[in-house]
Amino acid sequence: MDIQQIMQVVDASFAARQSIEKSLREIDRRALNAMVLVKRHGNALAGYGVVAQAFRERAASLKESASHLQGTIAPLIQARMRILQHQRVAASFSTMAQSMARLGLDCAPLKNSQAQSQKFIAQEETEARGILLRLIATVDTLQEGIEEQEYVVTNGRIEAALAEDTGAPLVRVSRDMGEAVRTVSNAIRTYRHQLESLEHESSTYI
Amino acid sequence: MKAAPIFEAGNHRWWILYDQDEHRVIDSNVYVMESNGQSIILDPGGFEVFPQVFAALVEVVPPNSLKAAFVSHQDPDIASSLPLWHACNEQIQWHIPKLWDGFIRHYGALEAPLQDIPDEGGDMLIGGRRLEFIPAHYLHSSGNFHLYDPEAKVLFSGDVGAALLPPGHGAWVDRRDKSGRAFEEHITKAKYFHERWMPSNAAKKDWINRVCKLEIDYLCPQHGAIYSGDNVQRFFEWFDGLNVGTAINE
Amino acid sequence: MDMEILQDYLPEARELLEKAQEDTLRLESEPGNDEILASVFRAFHTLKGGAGFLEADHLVSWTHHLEDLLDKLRSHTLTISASMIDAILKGLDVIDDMLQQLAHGESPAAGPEDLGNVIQQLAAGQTPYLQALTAETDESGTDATTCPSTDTTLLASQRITVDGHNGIYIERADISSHSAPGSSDEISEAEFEATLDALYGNQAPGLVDPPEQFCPDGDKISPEEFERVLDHLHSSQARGYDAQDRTAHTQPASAALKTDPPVPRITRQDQSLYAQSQTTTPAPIVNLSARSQNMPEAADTTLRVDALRLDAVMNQVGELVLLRNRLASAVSSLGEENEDMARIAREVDLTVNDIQSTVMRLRMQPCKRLFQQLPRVVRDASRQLGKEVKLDIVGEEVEIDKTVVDALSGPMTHLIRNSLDHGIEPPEVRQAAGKPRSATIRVAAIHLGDKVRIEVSDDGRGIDRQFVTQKAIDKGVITTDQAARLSEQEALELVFRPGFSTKDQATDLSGRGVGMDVVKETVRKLRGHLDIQTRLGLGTTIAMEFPLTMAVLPVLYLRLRREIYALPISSIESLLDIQESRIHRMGGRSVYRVDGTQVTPMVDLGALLNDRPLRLGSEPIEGVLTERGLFMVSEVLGNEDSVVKPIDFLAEQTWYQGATISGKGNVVLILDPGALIGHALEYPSTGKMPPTDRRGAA
Repeated sequence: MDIQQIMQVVDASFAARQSIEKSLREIDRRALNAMVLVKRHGNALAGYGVVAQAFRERAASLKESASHLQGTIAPLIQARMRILQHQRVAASFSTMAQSMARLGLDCAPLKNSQAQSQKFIAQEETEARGILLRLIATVDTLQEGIEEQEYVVTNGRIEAALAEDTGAPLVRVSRDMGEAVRTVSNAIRTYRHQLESLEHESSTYI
Repeated sequence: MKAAPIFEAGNHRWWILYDQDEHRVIDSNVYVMESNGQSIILDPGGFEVFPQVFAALVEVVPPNSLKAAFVSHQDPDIASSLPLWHACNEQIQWHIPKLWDGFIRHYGALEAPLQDIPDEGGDMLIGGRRLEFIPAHYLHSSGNFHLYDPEAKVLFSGDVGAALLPPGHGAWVDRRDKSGRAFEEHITKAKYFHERWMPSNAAKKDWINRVCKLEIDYLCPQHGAIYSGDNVQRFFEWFDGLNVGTAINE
Repeated sequence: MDMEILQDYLPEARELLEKAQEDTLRLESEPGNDEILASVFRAFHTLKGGAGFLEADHLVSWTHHLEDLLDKLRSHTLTISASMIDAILKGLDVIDDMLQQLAHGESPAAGPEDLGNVIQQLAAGQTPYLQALTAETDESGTDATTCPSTDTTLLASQRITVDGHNGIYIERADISSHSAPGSSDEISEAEFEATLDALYGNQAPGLVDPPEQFCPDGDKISPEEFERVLDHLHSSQARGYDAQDRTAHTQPASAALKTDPPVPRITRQDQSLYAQSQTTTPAPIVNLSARSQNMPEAADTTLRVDALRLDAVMNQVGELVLLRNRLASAVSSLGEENEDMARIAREVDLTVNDIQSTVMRLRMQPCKRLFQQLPRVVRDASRQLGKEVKLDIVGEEVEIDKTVVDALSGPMTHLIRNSLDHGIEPPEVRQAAGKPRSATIRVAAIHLGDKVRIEVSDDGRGIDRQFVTQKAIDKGVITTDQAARLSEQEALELVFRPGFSTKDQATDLSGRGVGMDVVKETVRKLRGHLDIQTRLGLGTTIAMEFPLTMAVLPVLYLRLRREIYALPISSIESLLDIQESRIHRMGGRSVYRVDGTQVTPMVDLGALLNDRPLRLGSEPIEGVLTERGLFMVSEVLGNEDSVVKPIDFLAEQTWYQGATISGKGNVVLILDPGALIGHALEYPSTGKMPPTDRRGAA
């Protein structure tokens, strides 16, 4: 697989992580805002309070999932970089072998080293692919969390409509929550596409 | 390896990547400065630790932001990863001591863009910010530079200030200790390194005179931990009083 | 003093007193209302009876005089006048003082002699003013001299009755009684006094108001006479002179009621002549409970509970709330596998919430309790100042925490007086300005979500900011430099500074040291918020907002670098992501543009509490928007219903409202947003803390 492609995925990971972190902070803030609003209106908004609490709890678990994401990206990058390292070594071996061949020399230990090197690369490729699949699974979990969060937001909209006569700006708060969730959802979907294309590449490579 | 922020002001940031996982090679710190979305990596490290340095780096900056690298001198713990970085990003401009140009290419990056720094030093721009190459010849290498960021008041000091710390060490010489005891403790782990790897008392004097004129909040060595605040001055005083080149200079 | 009786007596007495005051004020507009007159009479009578039980002799004596006056009013012997209402109201104040003394376990001291005399003179049908002028030339022809001096007198003694209670026995001394001290045939006034003194220590009042019918008119003691004698003796058991009641327990003489002669005008000088001796049988006074028969029959549904017990319940609920928080925190750290625990924690959470709101309701009292004193304040002050004022009260039924009701009574009075004194113009001035002669003061309580807003507004002259600013400079409250930086609103708020009083000479009414600063401090201590609005020439409104309950405090936890603080949620509008482009400098201060219309002062808590400003872009920063300004913090962590623990180790001048214990079991300081913003506005360039407290949270 092309190093540039890997670099693109690494860049995408960085961007996705930043975007997810930012959106999750935003979601958490929205949830807290909703809680503040509920608290400030006493019992009148108790129904919305339940929604806001759920929203906040989901936001916390999204944060948790996102941290797993980061924990999986780093090993993937390390594995890919080890492959790069060994490709580099392998390339030296192959240059050496070519020069020797030009001189009509055959060096068994060198061949052996070359083979070792290739084997190592293959192992690393397999491992990297395993990590990649785990990463995709983590992203799946995150996406599920987002879906749940979207469901909570929908509930919030309903509660907001019900509590409209209290004069609390719940509809706006709900819309803000919805927007924050949508942002993170988009970021994750884009990231997932990038990972999938990498996965596709790596499977054909092997 | 871990990443920790050193300095942050808007879009201007410094990080240290430290406490490497591989212990068969000397433990080295790698520094990253980012300005306006462009970044430079300082003494990017050895071939063996490249994967972990790279993985730690991309926690703090996106790899496509990397525009330049600075190599203080020719040692393998500093520059042997050059071909791998180059493979990842051919755009990286390598600022290296002119004296070592032909040597460094031996690491296997014949086509990499190397920018030679003349003996008297110079400066460069990254993301709109100016960084200065401070001559530090013979400390310990005969062609040796440090890098100064006048805005962040960070001096990357290569092997000067280096200490040999056990795995799991922190990034800083205790910042909150006002008594200086933490420094005293730390500096015992730096003493032999300076006595033996630094060859010349004259070079040492020259360097101290040079950097004393700089405003320095963070003195960042390539091994060990960062000196900040009062510890910077403590280090200068300690170094000033230290006899170096001890293999012949007892 | 019988503490148990006292415990029963005091709250009831206070209610009676409040009712009596309300009634008396109503008498002004309805002087002929017999029902009200009877009600006030009964109030004094019941107060007296209870005081007798407690052997609070001066209170007995005092209420007796008032009762006497009211008795004559209700029987239309006398006609009510403004000076009488004044005297009654002042008399009520004295009773209030006496009740205070009782509450402190002291026996009340004697009431003010002047006022006592005035009341007695009024009851005697004299105008105190006239009396003063014509003391020597009493024109009354029907004085006690018409009562011929006789050889007999009444003897009174205190003995145990057959049913074991203290009884007062009245006997005619001409028939020698076994109980009479020194069974002399004749008791002089001095001897009589001595007897009283012996019975009641040295505190028996002088002989007063001897009624004419004590003149010999036969062998019988009429119920009227009997009652009077009893009253003079401060019987601990005397009930009102009431025909129906009396018939049940004393000699029937209902006819006496109808034949009540006009109350004679008898002055003190004549009293020596009144003592008469008659009748035979000792007459034990019936022992009645001090509990008034006039109380509404609500005993089945309401229960009087000692406020201390309520406080105890509240404190215990507070502990429960803290434990609930810790449980929730502990359970959430167990992770998801512990569904059972999580469910239990949720149910505990709900139950504690229920208990919390129930206890909160227990402590709620209608604002009526707070407002009912105000008509009197307005009445007195407007008379004194010669101003015409109408008082509108709105929202008496709005309920608020007892603590607030209790603590706010003084400040409310002050605000009203202040408004009358400084705000409202004299009628001529108003007229000249094209306003109605009569000013209006409006007092309102409004329920707003988790808050109650209490407003005091007038349609007076408003507050002149320039004048206020100049005064503040003159008084050294602020410097000229500071004055130059003040916004209009801040200039106005100078009136809340200690040491500020806009009148050069403290007036009797509103300038007695307790100033607006005390009002502000009280509001602050109640975790409330004070706001002042004024329009020159049109009036002033002072609004106070209080949390609905003091039992729990919903807080928002926030992190400032390594430290955790709490902010009361009631003060928070919303949480913001700080954007550098929205920060502006105005007049040396940072302000934040929240949206198109709202610009608010910005306070960097890092600068204020850590002496080290937060650096935007260099460290995480979030914004907490409060009503009064935007706070910059490192991170907002979450909310919790918490309980305030007062902190006593901090100096008075402090930025903290108290402390709480977080779900994780840490002590967290609760910031006072008002104090922080106030400080930041005052010293915009420094983040220096006052030297008194430099310590943040542990």
